[in-house]
Amino acid sequence: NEDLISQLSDDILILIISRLSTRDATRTSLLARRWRNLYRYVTEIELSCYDLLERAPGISRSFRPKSSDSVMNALDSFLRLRSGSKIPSFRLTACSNKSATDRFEQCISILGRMDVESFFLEGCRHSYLLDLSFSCHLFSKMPLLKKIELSNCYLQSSLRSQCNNSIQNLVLMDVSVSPGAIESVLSNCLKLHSLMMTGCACPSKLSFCGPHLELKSLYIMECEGVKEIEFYASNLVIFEFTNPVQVDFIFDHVPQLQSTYIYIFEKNIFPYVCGKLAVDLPDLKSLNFATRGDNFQESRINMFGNLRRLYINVYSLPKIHLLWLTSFLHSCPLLQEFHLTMNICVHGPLVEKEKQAVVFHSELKKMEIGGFRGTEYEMEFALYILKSAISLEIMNINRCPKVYSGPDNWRWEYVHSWSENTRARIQTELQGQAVSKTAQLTVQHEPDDPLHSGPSCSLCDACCVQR
Amino acid sequence: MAAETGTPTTLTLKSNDDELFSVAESAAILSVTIRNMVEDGCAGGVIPLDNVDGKTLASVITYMNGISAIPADEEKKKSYRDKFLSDKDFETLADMVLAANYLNMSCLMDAVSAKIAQVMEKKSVGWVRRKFGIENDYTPEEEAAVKEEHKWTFEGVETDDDN
Repeated sequence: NEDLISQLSDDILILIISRLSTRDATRTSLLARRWRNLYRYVTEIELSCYDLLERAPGISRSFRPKSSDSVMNALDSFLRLRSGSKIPSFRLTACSNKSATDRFEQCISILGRMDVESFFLEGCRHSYLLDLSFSCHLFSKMPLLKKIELSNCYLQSSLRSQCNNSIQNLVLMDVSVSPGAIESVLSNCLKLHSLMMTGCACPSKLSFCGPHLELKSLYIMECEGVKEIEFYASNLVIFEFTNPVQVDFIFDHVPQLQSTYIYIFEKNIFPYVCGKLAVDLPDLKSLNFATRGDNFQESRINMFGNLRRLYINVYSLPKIHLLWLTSFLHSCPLLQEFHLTMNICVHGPLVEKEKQAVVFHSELKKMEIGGFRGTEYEMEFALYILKSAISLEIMNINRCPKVYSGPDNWRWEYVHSWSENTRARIQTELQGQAVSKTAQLTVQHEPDDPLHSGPSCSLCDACCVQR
Repeated sequence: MAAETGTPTTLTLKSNDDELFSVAESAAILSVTIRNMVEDGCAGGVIPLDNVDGKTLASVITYMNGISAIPADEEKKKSYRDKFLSDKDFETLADMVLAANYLNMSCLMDAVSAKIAQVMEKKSVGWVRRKFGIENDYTPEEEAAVKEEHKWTFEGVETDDDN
């Protein structure tokens, strides 16, 4: 056997072993002298307690490490063997408890000296040592860190204020957030642009406040315990929120806030959107909300005088004249794009509404209706738009509902298609009805190019950082 | 670039054993090395590729044509790459990785590296040495020391009589 692989250059060999798991890549150092140090140039490391405690992955799902010290000792020796090399990306799934805090902090400091830029830390989900804890002062130990994701652990506030000027992106997933921890993050991570919290347990009040916050994007999804959120964030551009219950938003100072998504499970938030939200955030450019559709008898709708894009996902919609939406449209005089999705429709008693006179919408250029079945009320609404939007360019009618599922991410939900007769009837009844000469009508099950049909987020680069 | 004329431009590539190949410019510029030559206007005549032999170049061109015919769909591209590499032996893969490196084609480079790495996955040190014909030049003492350092990596490898 000719030694073909050794004819490849070190660079290529490193590229090859970079495709292996950290365990397999590290083992190649035993092949021969030339291989001894190649593994040290692998830039993406992923370790778990199974690795560190010399267990084969997947053999015992619920083993008990004798102590969390042994995990941290093993991690420490792995890092020391690699000292002098860089680890730009490090992923660790580990179990630990308070007794190992000091060792853990040492490891974090070593990682910081190895120029870690992207750090993922997850508390082991199979171990009984379930209190892996990350304290906010540790951010400052990793001076080149750009992105950090913490999962299934505790986030502790820190009294010591030690700044980190590199972190742009923080993700907290299933994290237990102690009181003051978010405030500690914000005061320690001066360049933080994007913060996402998903499935976290939170204190009742969260404050995103500071005179010089650079935070641009904030996503809070299904976080337990929050009752009140306060904002004094002069650079905040995007705020997205989903929660089982409504919370109080106190928008003290958000002059740049352009885009908001709100979804409170099972609640009709239309009154809130038309009322307090419009008063608090009259300058929004993009508004996206999902709401139950059972009661739209709003007497007064406040103005969204700057709104360009509107996405409404209505579910549990009773039999209703959709023309109630027209009064909402009247309060958005600069609206250019309107995406309406009717997600789940329930037949109930007919809710009557007086016919309204057509008011022209001069700016509306794009109308998209998803979840369109072809009922009388839907047709009536589509016709209203065609007749009132004098600059309309595109009217897309889709059978499938389009659903927003988190930062800049849309999907088409599959439903049974129309019969060919229904599709043809919709097409015939709407074709040629537009007052705008440039309007193009499409009636489709779902668009051909679902990946690119979602609205692109052109508001800022903050959500690009997210990905 | 002549792309605006509407007719597809063809480039002529020459391997280091003097074989000539015609390939559509749109496919050939998957190679950053070739793209740079085209952009610098040095692609008028024959493009000599001194580090690639005819057999490997033929294979790389098959790949260039195949992958550039697939529209922007990463799934389909990936399955094409998997299929393209599935019947290649190690010698071919090694030639291909060198060619991809020289031609600066990161997508082919990544795919071939992954394919070579796959062979080593979960395999014992002894198995990998035999498979690739790697000579063990450690002294027994050195080997024992390195083994001690990386003891944890020996868990979970496939059983092998000789490691």
